[in-house]
Amino acid sequence: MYKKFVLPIQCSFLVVLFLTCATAHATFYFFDGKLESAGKIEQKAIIKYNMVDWEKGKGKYGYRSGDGRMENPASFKTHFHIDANYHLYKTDRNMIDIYTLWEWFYDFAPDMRHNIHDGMHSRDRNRYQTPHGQEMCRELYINIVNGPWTFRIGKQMVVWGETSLKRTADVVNPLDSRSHMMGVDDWEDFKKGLWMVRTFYQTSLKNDLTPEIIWVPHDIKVMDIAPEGSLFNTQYSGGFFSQLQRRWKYDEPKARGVKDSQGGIRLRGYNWDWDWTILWYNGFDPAPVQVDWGQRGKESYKPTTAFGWAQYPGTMNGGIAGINLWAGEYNVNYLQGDPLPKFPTDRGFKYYRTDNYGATAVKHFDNVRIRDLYIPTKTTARIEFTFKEGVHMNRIKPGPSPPVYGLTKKDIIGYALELSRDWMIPYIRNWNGERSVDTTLSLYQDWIMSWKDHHLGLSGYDRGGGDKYTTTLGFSASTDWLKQDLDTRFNTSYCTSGYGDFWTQLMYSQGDHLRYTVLWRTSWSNAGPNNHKGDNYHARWTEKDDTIQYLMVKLGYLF
Amino acid sequence: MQRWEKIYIVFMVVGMISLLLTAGMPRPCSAVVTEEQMKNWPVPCYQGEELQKVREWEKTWVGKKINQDNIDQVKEFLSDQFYEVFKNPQDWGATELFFSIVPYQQVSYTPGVMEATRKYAPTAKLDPNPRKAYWKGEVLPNEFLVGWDKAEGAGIPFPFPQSGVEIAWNMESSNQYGDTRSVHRDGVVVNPRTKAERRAIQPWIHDYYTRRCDFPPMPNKPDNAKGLRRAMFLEIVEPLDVKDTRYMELRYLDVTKPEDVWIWFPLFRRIRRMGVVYKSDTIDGTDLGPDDEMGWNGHTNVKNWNIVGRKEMLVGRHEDTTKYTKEKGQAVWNGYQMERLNTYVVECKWKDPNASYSKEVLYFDPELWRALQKVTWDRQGRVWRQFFYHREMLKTKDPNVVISHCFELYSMDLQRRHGSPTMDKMKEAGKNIDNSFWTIQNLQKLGF
Repeated sequence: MYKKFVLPIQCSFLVVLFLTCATAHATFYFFDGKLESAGKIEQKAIIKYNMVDWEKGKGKYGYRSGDGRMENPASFKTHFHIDANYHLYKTDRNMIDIYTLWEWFYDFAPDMRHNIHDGMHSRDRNRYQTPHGQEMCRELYINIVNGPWTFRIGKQMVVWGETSLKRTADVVNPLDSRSHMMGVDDWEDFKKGLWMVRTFYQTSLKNDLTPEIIWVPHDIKVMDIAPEGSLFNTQYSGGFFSQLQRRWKYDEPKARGVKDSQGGIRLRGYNWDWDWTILWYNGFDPAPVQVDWGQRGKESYKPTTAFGWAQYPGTMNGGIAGINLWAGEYNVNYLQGDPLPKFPTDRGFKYYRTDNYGATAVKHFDNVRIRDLYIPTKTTARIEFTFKEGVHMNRIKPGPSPPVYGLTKKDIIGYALELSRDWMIPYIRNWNGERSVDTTLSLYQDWIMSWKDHHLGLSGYDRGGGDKYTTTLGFSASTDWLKQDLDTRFNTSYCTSGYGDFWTQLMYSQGDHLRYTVLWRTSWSNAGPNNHKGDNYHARWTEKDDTIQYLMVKLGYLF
Repeated sequence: MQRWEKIYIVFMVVGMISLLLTAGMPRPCSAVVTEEQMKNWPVPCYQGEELQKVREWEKTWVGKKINQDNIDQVKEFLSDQFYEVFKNPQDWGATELFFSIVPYQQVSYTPGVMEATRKYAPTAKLDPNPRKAYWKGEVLPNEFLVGWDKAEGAGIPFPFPQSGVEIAWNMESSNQYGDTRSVHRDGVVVNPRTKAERRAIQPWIHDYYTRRCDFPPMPNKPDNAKGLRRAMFLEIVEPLDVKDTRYMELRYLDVTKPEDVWIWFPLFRRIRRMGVVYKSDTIDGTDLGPDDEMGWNGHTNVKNWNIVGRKEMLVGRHEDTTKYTKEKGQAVWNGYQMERLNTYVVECKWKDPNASYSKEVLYFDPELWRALQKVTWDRQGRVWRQFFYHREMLKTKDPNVVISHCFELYSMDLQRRHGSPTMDKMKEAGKNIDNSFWTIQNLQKLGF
């Protein structure tokens, strides 16, 4: 049934794409050039390979999600992206613009493959396949410039960081990681716009000092994680993960009101040939912590199934209550095929605020001289530093299936260093028309201070048991060929917490509009979310065969 | 008289004579301009009998269309590379490539340049001392224009240049006319083999902080705390892949400080600080890198400059761009209007042996000291790229000044057969831009 309409839609799309490319003009202008608009249409197919059993939804006793499992194409997505800028008013010192960015996509894969369809909860699938309502509007703001003052009011994405390996100082917008691959796609593809007021004042001091203030009066958005059964999350848990995520996303945030505003300040300047910023942002963590692990006693959670009640006295005596009890009840009932328990009515998760302090610095070092020795460095250094004061984290017990048993506050410090250099590599430059190879070497480290137990932070500080700190190394290289018609990129990274990846991409540009992209990615890991190893102190966060390997083919049309 | 007194007197007399004789001789590092020379300046390229000969030649050729069939007859007035392109139009996506010949006309300096040159040129000289610089090879004796780093002087420093480096300083010193210019660049990047074209729209602004001659503030912009020589802003409207990219380049008077380049990338909405090496890379598929603009866009002493001779050339100085035509897939414009000019041929080489070009030859206009054509060689010594810097005469408003505007930064890759016909149409000249524009904060403000 689905194929009947999916295939004609795809074919029509491709026909229209090729017909229009001969006639269309780049960038549209309306109203005497006051309104300019551009966008792109992409058709993307992702083929996963080397899928291991659990990736295909297969557990010890067969497929965990009925017949639901990942199949190829793992994604077959049409993506439409358009932005527009309306120049309302402009003089030498004043300017008013209205800018907006919209996107719409639809992933046909769950319609084409009923096993993918069956592997996802209908509610997750619906939101995974296509954006809803406000999600389509990623940005919509008015930009008012009056002399040294700039006001941006509306839905915006803010970039405060300088490095790209990790989000060290870039803390304002939460991420939507449902459809994008970390380390491959740009952070800006992940960012969720927030309704805010953003103000700059450009001083006339010699160091170009510019204070910036952000105030997010009401808009609280949380991080979206790839739903169970989707391309980037094939950990089939029978809806357990889906249930949890639904609570993270809708339970606590919905209860918040106007009083919960967020905001921060950043200073930007230029001294001693360094571009620098310092910043402070007080906002909610992008993901919550569990606040009901049984400390509420019997009132915490009462079983709703026969199995739950049968086990209730024993689990209570064993100190397992609250959401831990619900989790056990849910999973056993699911495996036995019995009715599933309802999610606890009491709030199980809570978002806490954190004070984020950060700094960035950038400088270009053209050469270093030691006496008469001239060493051409030609390197740009980007440095980021962050200090997060009192991040809330759950404590987890070591063991095969670690239950949450407490809450703690820990300070986190981290830094990132990127060294970028354009190289003229003899062999390559002979073939690519003297184009440089742009390389970036990255280092990222963070520490949880006063660490002495197992801490599970859902907001990005996850690490293997025993990892007080993590170190991530990355390297990327890119260059182009055929008069910049063919763009090639290589990227690899490794984290001491036990995982790494490598991907390479080729993009061919045909004329003004058509873009063909092939991307191959492989990754490795020695730990995983299905981590059931006995010694949790030495186990890692992801499982050994927790890999997401795929080939992506993309046809894009820019307009 | 004592013997030692005789010896003393002889020494004194010889010394005085030597002093008097040498005082009148120009030292290598001193200005070579005399008052007599300045009285007759500016000197047209052709005068007297030479001009008569040119006019005679023009009687045969002016108005004639030159294409592959008759180009051999004017081959002696073309560079080998220019000739090869127009002789073989099929290699450049055309059935016919043609240009016409127009009469030679003297190009005058603007009143501001005239006045500044008369004022400052007699004292202009090269520094006999070496100095440190950020590039390999640094600055050698008699290479650096005295006062440059202190923003002293204006106009053409060496109206009667004797060396390649003096011509190069003339090119660098005179602000390319307009002092501050806002220009709309529109063109295409063409692969003549496939006839594929990619649009390139890149409006840009040049703002000179020092040696301003025609538009206030003169001669220098005030409050130049960063010690800027020139600031440049470029926005990419097309190609669409990099739409809304904004490029800012600051060149400093201090030669120990490399040019700074910042780019605002819309893809990840971030300002990236790039190194000076970025200027050697070509811009978005064209064959033109920031370094190639106007012949050379950087510190003069990064390269060694040598005059290799004079050559009668056909060059574009009074172009009418309405006569330019081009078919789709054609990598070179048709309809150039070329005039005869006795150019200076200057060869330059980077001091850094790892530079992309092993050699560059520039054909200089002896009236304006602008490069009108350039040919470059790759590191293997093969001819690589060719550039045309054709000009048109424009009249500005307030003040009303006729300037020679370089509207065409044409670049072509002779090895890979690739060309980028573009036009830089002047939008505004002389506008006073606030210093706050040239900050990365403003770059952020202009982004989204």
